[in-house]
Amino acid sequence: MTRGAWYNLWLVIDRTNGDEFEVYLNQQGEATVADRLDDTSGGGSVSRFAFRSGGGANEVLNGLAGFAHISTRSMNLDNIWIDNIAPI
Amino acid sequence: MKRYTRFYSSCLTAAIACSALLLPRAAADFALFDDFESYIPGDINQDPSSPWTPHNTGLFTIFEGDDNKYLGYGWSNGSRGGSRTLPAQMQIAPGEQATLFLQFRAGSFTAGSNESAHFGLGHNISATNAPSDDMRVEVALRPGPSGDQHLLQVRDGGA
Repeated sequence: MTRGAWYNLWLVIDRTNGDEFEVYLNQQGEATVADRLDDTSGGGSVSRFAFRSGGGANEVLNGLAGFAHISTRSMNLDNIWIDNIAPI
Repeated sequence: MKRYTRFYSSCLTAAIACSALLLPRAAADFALFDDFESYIPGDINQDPSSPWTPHNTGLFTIFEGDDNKYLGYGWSNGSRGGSRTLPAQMQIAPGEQATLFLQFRAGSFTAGSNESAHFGLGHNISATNAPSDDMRVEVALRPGPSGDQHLLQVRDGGA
């Protein structure tokens, strides 16, 4: 990521068989796959991630949050859209 | 031109680019969660119309520039942020599939530091200093090898 550049990001969430999601992003129309956090298991270049634990399988995702750690105004967000598909 | 008008062309481009990656839905089914255009620029605490909740008075600010408003956040000492509850029709229950789209921009990080900036979705996010514990889907930006290059990282499981 380059400082000062806007990126498009998609979180594709699949709760039909467990709690998993995929992450896609681009800046100029070319999608790439994000890397895992470096403090978790597994290698890079994976596309499917598991929900963070701490909640039960029946939890509803009902909030969007942001925070920064020791970094003033280090993140900008804009144009947040959600496409929610009815239960399958 | 408001930047959100570019959302559709971005989605179309990405839908084409990502067709091999099996993005599940077309852009036409997306509903706007927030584009920040209706808020008063400045500290979000000062705008009574804002549905966002700053956590422990962290810096959660509406910025305006280039005929566009957007959210900015961060804190110079510790972890602070904010959150907003999803409307009922946007909440994502077990058994469902959904796609969240947003645009983000990274500010400055100090290379080699442990600075970071996060966003994500969670369940019953509490207004604590940092809502990370309540997030279930989390993306983070961290410093890269230089001050101008950052790492985008995704939490994969974990406590």
